Amino acid sequence: MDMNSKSFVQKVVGAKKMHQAYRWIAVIFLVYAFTWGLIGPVPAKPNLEETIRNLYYHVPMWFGLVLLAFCSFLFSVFYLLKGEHEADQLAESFALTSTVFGVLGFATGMLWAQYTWGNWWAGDVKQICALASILVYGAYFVLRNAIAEQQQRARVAAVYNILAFFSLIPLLFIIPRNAEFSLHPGGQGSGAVGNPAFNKYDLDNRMRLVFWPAIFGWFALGLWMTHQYFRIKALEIKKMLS
Amino acid sequence: MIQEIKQILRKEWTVEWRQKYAIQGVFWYSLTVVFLCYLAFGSVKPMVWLSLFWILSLFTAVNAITKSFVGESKSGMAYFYTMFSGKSVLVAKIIYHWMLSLFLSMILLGFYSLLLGSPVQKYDLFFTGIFLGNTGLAVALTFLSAISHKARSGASVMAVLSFPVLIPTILLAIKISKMGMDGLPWSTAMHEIGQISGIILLTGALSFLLFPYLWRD
Repeated sequence: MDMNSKSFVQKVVGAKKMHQAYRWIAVIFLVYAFTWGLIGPVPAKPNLEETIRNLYYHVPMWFGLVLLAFCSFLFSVFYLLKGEHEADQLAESFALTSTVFGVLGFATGMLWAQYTWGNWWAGDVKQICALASILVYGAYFVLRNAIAEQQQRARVAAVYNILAFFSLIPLLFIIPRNAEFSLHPGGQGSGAVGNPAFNKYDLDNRMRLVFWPAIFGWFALGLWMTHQYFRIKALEIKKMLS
Repeated sequence: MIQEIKQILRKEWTVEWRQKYAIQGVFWYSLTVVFLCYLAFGSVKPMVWLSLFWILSLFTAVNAITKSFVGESKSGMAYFYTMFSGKSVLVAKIIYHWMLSLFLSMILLGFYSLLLGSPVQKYDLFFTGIFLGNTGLAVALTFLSAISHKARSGASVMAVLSFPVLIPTILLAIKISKMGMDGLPWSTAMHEIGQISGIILLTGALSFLLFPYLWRD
Protein backbone atom coordinates (compact mmCIF):
# COMPACT_ATOMS: atom_id res chain seq x y z
CA MET A 1 0.00 0.00 0.00
CA ASP A 2 1.16 3.51 -0.71
CA MET A 3 2.08 4.95 2.65
CA ASN A 4 1.86 8.58 1.59
CA SER A 5 -1.66 8.66 0.30
CA LYS A 6 -4.13 9.10 3.10
CA SER A 7 -7.04 6.74 3.47
CA PHE A 8 -10.57 8.04 3.71
CA VAL A 9 -10.75 7.48 7.45
CA GLN A 10 -7.43 9.22 8.02
CA LYS A 11 -8.76 12.22 6.16
CA VAL A 12 -11.92 12.26 8.24
CA VAL A 13 -10.06 11.90 11.51
CA GLY A 14 -7.32 14.29 10.49
CA ALA A 15 -9.68 17.16 9.70
CA LYS A 16 -8.48 19.55 12.35
CA LYS A 17 -11.30 22.07 12.13
CA MET A 18 -13.98 19.46 12.72
CA HIS A 19 -12.10 18.11 15.69
CA GLN A 20 -11.90 21.55 17.25
CA ALA A 21 -15.50 22.27 16.36
CA TYR A 22 -16.96 19.44 18.37
CA ARG A 23 -14.63 20.09 21.23
CA TRP A 24 -15.99 23.63 21.52
CA ILE A 25 -19.55 22.48 20.97
CA ALA A 26 -19.11 20.06 23.85
CA VAL A 27 -17.65 22.70 26.16
CA ILE A 28 -20.23 25.39 25.44
CA PHE A 29 -23.29 23.18 25.45
CA LEU A 30 -22.28 21.24 28.53
CA VAL A 31 -21.40 24.33 30.54
CA TYR A 32 -24.84 25.65 29.63
CA ALA A 33 -26.55 22.34 30.42
CA PHE A 34 -24.79 22.03 33.76
CA THR A 35 -25.44 25.56 34.98
CA TRP A 36 -28.92 26.18 33.58
CA GLY A 37 -29.80 22.55 34.22
CA LEU A 38 -29.16 23.03 37.91
CA ILE A 39 -30.57 26.52 38.45
CA GLY A 40 -33.23 26.67 35.75
CA PRO A 41 -36.95 26.21 36.50
CA VAL A 42 -38.52 22.74 36.41
CA PRO A 43 -42.14 21.66 36.82
CA ALA A 44 -42.96 20.61 40.36
CA LYS A 45 -44.02 16.98 40.18
CA PRO A 46 -44.89 14.94 43.23
CA ASN A 47 -42.29 12.35 44.15
CA LEU A 48 -39.93 13.45 41.38
CA GLU A 49 -39.38 16.97 42.74
CA GLU A 50 -35.94 18.27 41.87
CA THR A 51 -34.65 14.85 40.82
CA ILE A 52 -36.36 15.47 37.49
CA ARG A 53 -33.16 17.30 36.56
CA ASN A 54 -31.55 13.91 36.17
CA LEU A 55 -33.21 13.92 32.77
CA TYR A 56 -30.43 16.24 31.59
CA TYR A 57 -27.73 13.76 32.55
CA HIS A 58 -29.28 10.32 32.40
CA VAL A 59 -31.20 10.41 29.12
CA PRO A 60 -28.38 11.99 27.05
CA MET A 61 -26.23 8.99 28.05
CA TRP A 62 -28.60 6.64 26.29
CA PHE A 63 -28.82 8.92 23.28
CA GLY A 64 -25.02 8.95 23.28
CA LEU A 65 -24.82 5.19 23.57
CA VAL A 66 -27.12 4.60 20.61
CA LEU A 67 -25.52 7.28 18.41
CA LEU A 68 -21.97 6.20 19.18
CA ALA A 69 -22.85 2.54 18.69
CA PHE A 70 -24.34 3.52 15.37
CA CYS A 71 -21.09 5.27 14.37
CA SER A 72 -19.17 2.19 15.44
CA PHE A 73 -21.47 0.07 13.30
CA LEU A 74 -20.98 2.36 10.29
CA PHE A 75 -17.21 2.14 10.52
CA SER A 76 -17.37 -1.63 10.87
CA VAL A 77 -19.41 -1.82 7.69
CA PHE A 78 -16.91 0.53 6.08
CA TYR A 79 -14.04 -1.70 7.17
CA LEU A 80 -15.64 -4.79 5.64
CA LEU A 81 -16.24 -2.95 2.38
CA LYS A 82 -12.95 -1.07 2.04
CA GLY A 83 -10.55 -2.86 4.35
CA GLU A 84 -8.98 0.31 5.73
CA HIS A 85 -7.26 -0.55 8.95
CA GLU A 86 -8.11 2.82 10.54
CA ALA A 87 -11.81 2.17 10.11
CA ASP A 88 -11.51 -0.83 12.39
CA GLN A 89 -9.65 1.19 15.02
CA LEU A 90 -12.24 3.89 14.83
CA ALA A 91 -15.02 1.33 15.21
CA GLU A 92 -13.28 0.04 18.31
CA SER A 93 -12.92 3.54 19.74
CA PHE A 94 -16.58 4.27 19.13
CA ALA A 95 -17.60 0.99 20.74
CA LEU A 96 -15.51 1.86 23.77
CA THR A 97 -17.00 5.33 24.26
CA SER A 98 -20.44 3.90 23.62
CA THR A 99 -19.87 1.39 26.43
CA VAL A 100 -18.59 4.17 28.70
CA PHE A 101 -21.79 6.12 28.02
CA GLY A 102 -23.80 2.99 28.78
CA VAL A 103 -22.05 2.50 32.11
CA LEU A 104 -22.55 6.19 32.97
CA GLY A 105 -26.20 5.94 31.96
CA PHE A 106 -26.48 3.06 34.36
CA ALA A 107 -24.72 4.94 37.14
CA THR A 108 -26.84 8.08 36.77
CA GLY A 109 -29.99 5.97 36.52
CA MET A 110 -29.23 3.85 39.56
CA LEU A 111 -28.27 6.84 41.67
CA TRP A 112 -31.57 8.44 40.76
CA ALA A 113 -33.54 5.22 41.27
CA GLN A 114 -32.10 4.85 44.72
CA TYR A 115 -33.86 8.07 45.75
CA THR A 116 -37.02 7.77 43.69
CA TRP A 117 -37.75 4.05 43.46
CA GLY A 118 -36.03 3.28 46.72
CA ASN A 119 -33.55 0.82 45.30
CA TRP A 120 -30.37 0.74 43.26
CA TRP A 121 -31.66 -2.15 41.22
CA ALA A 122 -35.39 -2.35 40.70
CA GLY A 123 -35.42 -5.19 38.16
CA ASP A 124 -37.08 -2.87 35.69
CA VAL A 125 -37.30 -4.11 32.11
CA LYS A 126 -35.18 -1.24 30.82
CA GLN A 127 -32.49 -1.88 33.39
CA ILE A 128 -32.39 -5.52 32.33
CA CYS A 129 -32.22 -4.73 28.64
CA ALA A 130 -29.60 -2.05 29.18
CA LEU A 131 -27.46 -4.47 31.14
CA ALA A 132 -27.83 -7.03 28.37
CA SER A 133 -26.72 -4.49 25.78
CA ILE A 134 -23.64 -3.65 27.84
CA LEU A 135 -22.87 -7.38 28.01
CA VAL A 136 -23.14 -7.55 24.22
CA TYR A 137 -20.49 -4.85 23.86
CA GLY A 138 -18.37 -6.38 26.62
CA ALA A 139 -18.25 -9.54 24.53
CA TYR A 140 -17.01 -7.44 21.60
CA PHE A 141 -13.88 -6.51 23.55
CA VAL A 142 -13.38 -10.09 24.72
CA LEU A 143 -13.55 -11.21 21.11
CA ARG A 144 -11.02 -8.58 20.02
CA ASN A 145 -8.57 -9.68 22.68
CA ALA A 146 -9.00 -13.33 21.82
CA ILE A 147 -7.68 -12.93 18.28
CA ALA A 148 -3.99 -12.21 17.94
CA GLU A 149 -3.59 -11.74 14.22
CA GLN A 150 -4.43 -8.14 13.37
CA GLN A 151 -6.31 -8.44 10.09
CA GLN A 152 -8.26 -11.42 11.25
CA ARG A 153 -9.18 -9.58 14.44
CA ALA A 154 -10.36 -6.54 12.53
CA ARG A 155 -12.54 -8.58 10.22
CA VAL A 156 -14.10 -10.86 12.81
CA ALA A 157 -14.65 -7.95 15.20
CA ALA A 158 -16.34 -5.96 12.44
CA VAL A 159 -18.67 -8.86 11.70
CA TYR A 160 -19.57 -9.25 15.36
CA ASN A 161 -19.99 -5.52 15.80
CA ILE A 162 -22.63 -5.42 13.07
CA LEU A 163 -24.47 -8.26 14.76
CA ALA A 164 -24.09 -6.48 18.11
CA PHE A 165 -25.63 -3.30 16.78
CA PHE A 166 -28.60 -5.16 15.40
CA SER A 167 -29.10 -6.92 18.71
CA LEU A 168 -29.37 -3.49 20.34
CA ILE A 169 -32.56 -2.87 18.38
CA PRO A 170 -34.70 -5.50 20.14
CA LEU A 171 -33.00 -4.82 23.46
CA LEU A 172 -33.45 -1.06 23.54
CA PHE A 173 -36.39 -0.42 21.25
CA ILE A 174 -38.66 -3.46 21.11
CA ILE A 175 -38.69 -5.40 24.36
CA PRO A 176 -39.01 -2.35 26.69
CA ARG A 177 -41.91 -1.05 24.63
CA ASN A 178 -44.12 -4.05 24.94
CA ALA A 179 -43.29 -4.92 28.50
CA GLU A 180 -46.43 -5.13 30.58
CA PHE A 181 -44.97 -3.00 33.29
CA SER A 182 -42.06 -0.66 33.56
CA LEU A 183 -41.10 1.91 36.12
CA HIS A 184 -39.67 4.00 33.34
CA PRO A 185 -41.87 6.64 31.72
CA GLY A 186 -44.23 5.34 29.07
CA GLY A 187 -44.41 1.89 30.58
CA GLN A 188 -47.08 2.25 33.23
CA GLY A 189 -49.79 -0.32 33.03
CA SER A 190 -50.43 -2.70 30.18
CA GLY A 191 -50.89 -1.48 26.66
CA ALA A 192 -48.51 1.43 27.14
CA VAL A 193 -46.90 0.98 23.76
CA GLY A 194 -44.97 3.94 22.48
CA ASN A 195 -41.73 5.72 22.87
CA PRO A 196 -40.68 4.97 26.41
CA ALA A 197 -38.63 8.12 26.76
CA PHE A 198 -40.90 10.92 25.68
CA ASN A 199 -44.64 10.61 25.45
CA LYS A 200 -45.31 10.68 29.10
CA TYR A 201 -42.20 12.38 30.25
CA ASP A 202 -43.06 15.40 32.28
CA LEU A 203 -41.03 17.41 29.89
CA ASP A 204 -42.21 20.97 29.42
CA ASN A 205 -40.83 23.64 27.14
CA ARG A 206 -38.56 25.09 29.80
CA MET A 207 -36.90 21.72 30.22
CA ARG A 208 -36.61 21.17 26.49
CA LEU A 209 -34.42 24.27 26.36
CA VAL A 210 -31.84 22.40 28.42
CA PHE A 211 -32.56 18.85 27.38
CA TRP A 212 -31.76 19.05 23.67
CA PRO A 213 -28.58 21.13 24.05
CA ALA A 214 -27.49 18.63 26.72
CA ILE A 215 -27.93 15.75 24.29
CA PHE A 216 -26.00 17.63 21.66
CA GLY A 217 -23.22 18.50 24.07
CA TRP A 218 -22.83 15.00 25.46
CA PHE A 219 -22.74 13.53 22.00
CA ALA A 220 -20.07 16.02 20.97
CA LEU A 221 -18.11 15.06 24.06
CA GLY A 222 -18.47 11.42 23.04
CA LEU A 223 -17.07 12.22 19.61
CA TRP A 224 -14.17 14.07 21.17
CA MET A 225 -13.43 11.18 23.55
CA THR A 226 -13.52 8.75 20.65
CA HIS A 227 -11.14 10.90 18.71
CA GLN A 228 -8.68 11.15 21.60
CA TYR A 229 -8.77 7.41 22.20
CA PHE A 230 -8.22 6.79 18.52
CA ARG A 231 -5.20 9.10 18.48
CA ILE A 232 -3.69 7.47 21.56
CA LYS A 233 -4.07 4.07 19.93
CA ALA A 234 -2.49 5.33 16.74
CA LEU A 235 0.48 6.72 18.70
CA GLU A 236 0.90 3.41 20.52
CA ILE A 237 1.04 1.56 17.23
CA LYS A 238 3.52 4.07 15.83
CA LYS A 239 5.71 3.64 18.89
CA MET A 240 5.54 -0.12 18.60
CA LEU A 241 6.59 -0.04 14.97
CA SER A 242 9.52 2.34 15.42
CA MET B 1 -26.76 -24.36 -4.28
CA ILE B 2 -29.51 -26.72 -3.12
CA GLN B 3 -27.40 -29.60 -4.36
CA GLU B 4 -24.45 -28.33 -2.33
CA ILE B 5 -26.57 -27.91 0.78
CA LYS B 6 -27.80 -31.46 0.44
CA GLN B 7 -24.24 -32.75 0.14
CA ILE B 8 -23.07 -30.83 3.20
CA LEU B 9 -26.06 -32.01 5.20
CA ARG B 10 -25.28 -35.59 4.23
CA LYS B 11 -21.67 -35.08 5.26
CA GLU B 12 -22.69 -33.60 8.63
CA TRP B 13 -25.05 -36.47 9.24
CA THR B 14 -22.47 -39.09 8.27
CA VAL B 15 -19.82 -37.55 10.52
CA GLU B 16 -22.28 -37.26 13.37
CA TRP B 17 -23.34 -40.86 12.96
CA ARG B 18 -19.82 -42.16 12.57
CA GLN B 19 -18.51 -40.53 15.74
CA LYS B 20 -21.50 -41.22 17.88
CA TYR B 21 -19.91 -39.72 20.96
CA ALA B 22 -21.12 -36.20 20.24
CA ILE B 23 -24.82 -36.89 20.00
CA GLN B 24 -24.60 -39.56 22.69
CA GLY B 25 -22.79 -37.07 24.88
CA VAL B 26 -25.53 -34.49 24.54
CA PHE B 27 -28.15 -37.15 25.11
CA TRP B 28 -26.62 -38.32 28.38
CA TYR B 29 -25.84 -34.75 29.32
CA SER B 30 -29.50 -33.80 29.13
CA LEU B 31 -30.56 -36.90 31.04
CA THR B 32 -28.02 -36.26 33.80
CA VAL B 33 -28.82 -32.62 34.10
CA VAL B 34 -32.57 -33.25 34.29
CA PHE B 35 -31.96 -35.92 36.91
CA LEU B 36 -29.82 -33.48 38.86
CA CYS B 37 -32.56 -30.87 38.71
CA TYR B 38 -35.07 -33.44 39.88
CA LEU B 39 -32.87 -34.32 42.85
CA ALA B 40 -32.17 -30.69 43.66
CA PHE B 41 -35.68 -29.29 43.27
CA GLY B 42 -38.03 -32.20 43.85
CA SER B 43 -41.21 -30.56 42.66
CA VAL B 44 -41.30 -27.08 41.19
CA LYS B 45 -43.78 -24.30 40.55
CA PRO B 46 -44.89 -23.82 36.92
CA MET B 47 -42.85 -20.66 36.31
CA VAL B 48 -39.69 -22.24 37.75
CA TRP B 49 -40.43 -25.34 35.70
CA LEU B 50 -40.52 -23.27 32.54
CA SER B 51 -37.46 -21.14 33.29
CA LEU B 52 -35.42 -24.17 34.24
CA PHE B 53 -36.47 -25.91 31.07
CA TRP B 54 -35.32 -23.00 28.93
CA ILE B 55 -32.02 -22.68 30.74
CA LEU B 56 -31.36 -26.37 30.21
CA SER B 57 -32.43 -26.02 26.57
CA LEU B 58 -30.08 -23.10 26.08
CA PHE B 59 -27.10 -24.93 27.55
CA THR B 60 -27.85 -28.08 25.58
CA ALA B 61 -28.10 -26.09 22.35
CA VAL B 62 -24.89 -24.15 23.05
CA ASN B 63 -23.08 -27.39 23.86
CA ALA B 64 -24.33 -29.11 20.74
CA ILE B 65 -23.75 -26.23 18.33
CA THR B 66 -20.44 -24.87 19.64
CA LYS B 67 -18.50 -27.75 18.22
CA SER B 68 -19.86 -27.10 14.73
CA PHE B 69 -17.22 -24.69 13.49
CA VAL B 70 -15.01 -24.75 16.54
CA GLY B 71 -14.68 -28.51 16.16
CA GLU B 72 -13.80 -28.25 12.51
CA SER B 73 -10.08 -28.74 11.90
CA LYS B 74 -8.03 -26.33 9.80
CA SER B 75 -7.56 -28.85 7.02
CA GLY B 76 -11.24 -29.72 7.16
CA MET B 77 -12.10 -26.06 6.66
CA ALA B 78 -9.62 -25.79 3.79
CA TYR B 79 -11.26 -28.76 2.13
CA PHE B 80 -14.69 -27.25 2.61
CA TYR B 81 -13.42 -24.01 1.19
CA THR B 82 -12.36 -25.57 -2.08
CA MET B 83 -15.55 -27.57 -2.43
CA PHE B 84 -18.43 -25.31 -1.53
CA SER B 85 -19.48 -21.70 -1.45
CA GLY B 86 -19.62 -20.07 1.98
CA LYS B 87 -23.30 -19.36 1.78
CA SER B 88 -24.30 -22.94 1.18
CA VAL B 89 -22.11 -24.08 4.07
CA LEU B 90 -23.87 -21.60 6.32
CA VAL B 91 -27.37 -22.56 5.20
CA ALA B 92 -26.60 -26.25 5.54
CA LYS B 93 -25.16 -25.80 9.00
CA ILE B 94 -28.16 -23.74 10.09
CA ILE B 95 -30.58 -26.38 8.82
CA TYR B 96 -28.60 -29.13 10.49
CA HIS B 97 -28.39 -27.31 13.82
CA TRP B 98 -32.03 -26.41 13.64
CA MET B 99 -33.03 -30.05 13.35
CA LEU B 100 -30.48 -31.07 15.96
CA SER B 101 -31.60 -28.52 18.54
CA LEU B 102 -35.28 -29.32 18.00
CA PHE B 103 -34.54 -33.01 18.39
CA LEU B 104 -32.50 -32.42 21.54
CA SER B 105 -35.08 -30.18 23.14
CA MET B 106 -37.75 -32.81 22.48
CA ILE B 107 -35.61 -35.40 24.24
CA LEU B 108 -34.97 -32.94 27.04
CA LEU B 109 -38.67 -32.18 27.35
CA GLY B 110 -39.44 -35.90 27.49
CA PHE B 111 -37.06 -36.57 30.37
CA TYR B 112 -38.01 -33.37 32.04
CA SER B 113 -41.76 -34.01 32.01
CA LEU B 114 -41.18 -37.59 33.10
CA LEU B 115 -39.28 -36.61 36.23
CA LEU B 116 -40.65 -33.18 37.10
CA GLY B 117 -44.18 -33.46 35.70
CA SER B 118 -45.71 -31.11 33.17
CA PRO B 119 -47.93 -28.11 33.97
CA VAL B 120 -48.52 -27.36 30.27
CA GLN B 121 -52.18 -26.79 29.43
CA LYS B 122 -52.05 -25.96 25.75
CA TYR B 123 -49.47 -27.98 23.92
CA ASP B 124 -49.76 -26.45 20.46
CA LEU B 125 -48.86 -22.95 21.64
CA PHE B 126 -46.21 -24.33 23.98
CA PHE B 127 -44.57 -26.23 21.14
CA THR B 128 -44.75 -23.16 18.93
CA GLY B 129 -42.69 -21.38 21.57
CA ILE B 130 -40.16 -24.21 21.65
CA PHE B 131 -40.07 -24.38 17.88
CA LEU B 132 -39.48 -20.65 17.40
CA GLY B 133 -37.04 -20.44 20.29
CA ASN B 134 -34.93 -23.28 18.98
CA THR B 135 -35.02 -21.87 15.47
CA GLY B 136 -33.68 -18.61 16.84
CA LEU B 137 -31.03 -20.41 18.86
CA ALA B 138 -29.91 -22.47 15.87
CA VAL B 139 -29.59 -19.48 13.54
CA ALA B 140 -27.76 -17.24 16.01
CA LEU B 141 -25.54 -19.94 17.46
CA THR B 142 -24.42 -21.21 14.07
CA PHE B 143 -23.21 -17.76 13.14
CA LEU B 144 -21.64 -17.11 16.54
CA SER B 145 -19.91 -20.47 16.34
CA ALA B 146 -18.38 -19.34 13.06
CA ILE B 147 -17.24 -16.11 14.71
CA SER B 148 -15.71 -17.76 17.73
CA HIS B 149 -14.05 -20.34 15.51
CA LYS B 150 -11.75 -17.51 14.49
CA ALA B 151 -10.76 -16.76 18.08
CA ARG B 152 -8.04 -18.66 19.87
CA SER B 153 -10.10 -20.14 22.66
CA GLY B 154 -13.22 -21.11 20.82
CA ALA B 155 -15.53 -22.59 23.42
CA SER B 156 -15.16 -19.98 26.16
CA VAL B 157 -15.45 -17.06 23.75
CA MET B 158 -18.54 -18.75 22.37
CA ALA B 159 -20.27 -18.61 25.75
CA VAL B 160 -19.40 -14.95 26.27
CA LEU B 161 -20.55 -14.00 22.79
CA SER B 162 -23.72 -16.00 22.61
CA PHE B 163 -25.56 -15.46 25.90
CA PRO B 164 -26.11 -11.70 25.68
CA VAL B 165 -27.03 -11.84 22.00
CA LEU B 166 -29.54 -14.60 22.70
CA ILE B 167 -31.36 -12.78 25.51
CA PRO B 168 -34.18 -11.30 23.35
CA THR B 169 -34.83 -14.63 21.64
CA ILE B 170 -34.93 -16.52 24.91
CA LEU B 171 -37.13 -13.92 26.60
CA LEU B 172 -39.67 -14.01 23.79
CA ALA B 173 -39.59 -17.79 23.58
CA ILE B 174 -40.22 -18.03 27.32
CA LYS B 175 -43.12 -15.61 26.99
CA ILE B 176 -44.75 -17.58 24.19
CA SER B 177 -44.30 -20.95 25.85
CA LYS B 178 -45.55 -19.50 29.14
CA MET B 179 -48.78 -18.51 27.40
CA GLY B 180 -49.01 -22.08 26.16
CA MET B 181 -48.33 -23.36 29.63
CA ASP B 182 -51.09 -21.19 31.09
CA GLY B 183 -53.49 -22.20 28.33
CA LEU B 184 -54.02 -18.72 26.96
CA PRO B 185 -55.60 -18.26 23.51
CA TRP B 186 -53.42 -17.92 20.40
CA SER B 187 -54.40 -14.32 19.82
CA THR B 188 -52.53 -13.17 22.94
CA ALA B 189 -49.26 -14.59 21.65
CA MET B 190 -49.41 -13.17 18.13
CA HIS B 191 -47.47 -10.03 19.01
CA GLU B 192 -44.58 -12.04 20.48
CA ILE B 193 -44.65 -14.59 17.67
CA GLY B 194 -44.29 -11.76 15.18
CA GLN B 195 -41.39 -10.24 17.08
CA ILE B 196 -39.44 -13.45 17.52
CA SER B 197 -39.94 -14.26 13.83
CA GLY B 198 -38.61 -10.81 13.02
CA ILE B 199 -35.53 -11.38 15.15
CA ILE B 200 -34.94 -14.78 13.53
CA LEU B 201 -35.27 -13.32 10.04
CA LEU B 202 -32.96 -10.43 10.92
CA THR B 203 -30.29 -12.71 12.38
CA GLY B 204 -30.62 -15.04 9.41
CA ALA B 205 -30.27 -12.22 6.90
CA LEU B 206 -27.28 -10.76 8.76
CA SER B 207 -25.51 -14.12 8.93
CA PHE B 208 -26.17 -14.68 5.26
CA LEU B 209 -24.69 -11.29 4.35
CA LEU B 210 -21.76 -11.39 6.74
CA PHE B 211 -20.71 -15.01 6.57
CA PRO B 212 -18.60 -14.58 3.41
CA TYR B 213 -16.37 -12.17 5.35
CA LEU B 214 -15.68 -14.81 7.97
CA TRP B 215 -15.27 -17.52 5.43
CA ARG B 216 -12.40 -16.30 3.31
CA ASP B 217 -9.13 -16.38 5.16
